[in-house]
Amino acid sequence: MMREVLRIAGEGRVRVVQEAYPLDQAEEALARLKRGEVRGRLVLVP
Amino acid sequence: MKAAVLTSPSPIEQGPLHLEDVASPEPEPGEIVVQVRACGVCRSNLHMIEGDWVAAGVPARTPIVPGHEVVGTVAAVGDGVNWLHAGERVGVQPLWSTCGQCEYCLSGREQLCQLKQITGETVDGGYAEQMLAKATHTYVIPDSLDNAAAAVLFCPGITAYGAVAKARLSPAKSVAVFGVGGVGHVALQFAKLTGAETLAVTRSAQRLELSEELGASRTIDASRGDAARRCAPVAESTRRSCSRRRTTWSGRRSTLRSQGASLSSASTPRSALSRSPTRRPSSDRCWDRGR
Repeated sequence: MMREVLRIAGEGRVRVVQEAYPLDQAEEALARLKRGEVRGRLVLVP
Repeated sequence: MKAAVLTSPSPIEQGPLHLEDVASPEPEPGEIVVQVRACGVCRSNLHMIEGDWVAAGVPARTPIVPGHEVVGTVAAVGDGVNWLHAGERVGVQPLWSTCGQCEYCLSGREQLCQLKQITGETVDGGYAEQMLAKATHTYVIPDSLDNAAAAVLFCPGITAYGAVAKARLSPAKSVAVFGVGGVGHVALQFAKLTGAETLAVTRSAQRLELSEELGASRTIDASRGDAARRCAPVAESTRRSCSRRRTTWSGRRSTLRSQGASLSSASTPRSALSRSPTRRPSSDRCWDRGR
């Protein structure tokens, strides 16, 4: 099932909406999530 | 290497995560070291970090590094791993490992394996520069996907896909997606691929706009109350649903009709789970939903 998800997204048929956050601001990212202020998904980048 | 470590769960405002220098992981046989490039931030992470699930044994230990939707490059491989190579991009799911031998593992329901390990809950996860992964439970990432987008597929993506598959949609059907967050915004798109009419139900103006952008057939502003009536009857089967906001949730079941379906995506209010009293307390993990 995971491979199917990767295939479909890899073909551009599903678009992930995300916003990157530096790893050292993980708590701020989680606080935003708690406040419902996220569009799509926040993603931590080390 | 740096990692965001949880030692003692507490409200996020109290700063329960600490960025620390910890020893770089060494792979055991069958494991790999992943150089993390992206790790999604899930509501389940927040539940664990804030201590909502302590009574249910999550996290299984502290200190622990949260994070269960991870993409990175292979930094090192342990003995016996001959199909992955340094530099290759892989992703890690919440399901870190399973026994591979029980009836669940052998019948395509490995998420029910009693010996499973959960990324970021029983073993260290992706809020770090590096993490260990079981090579058999990693997936190679297609070149066309960037790291951050691919990471999100490993929890919201697979959860949304599973929920839509179970709803058995077709162009003759309608589906309401309750909650357009991390999971919901992907579920909406998988549902749309089936040709079904898609209704996005959310309380947030920003998410109503996002739903339109993603091609929802209709959007329903649940903040205006009586979302159920405004959906018009759409659904027959109740997928486990999860809005923390009761106005969204309470309207959901009354939208049901034959030949429809409803999907949902945030956290479930406890009262809404009363129809399954034997359920383990507080195990409303995102990745269990929809499978």
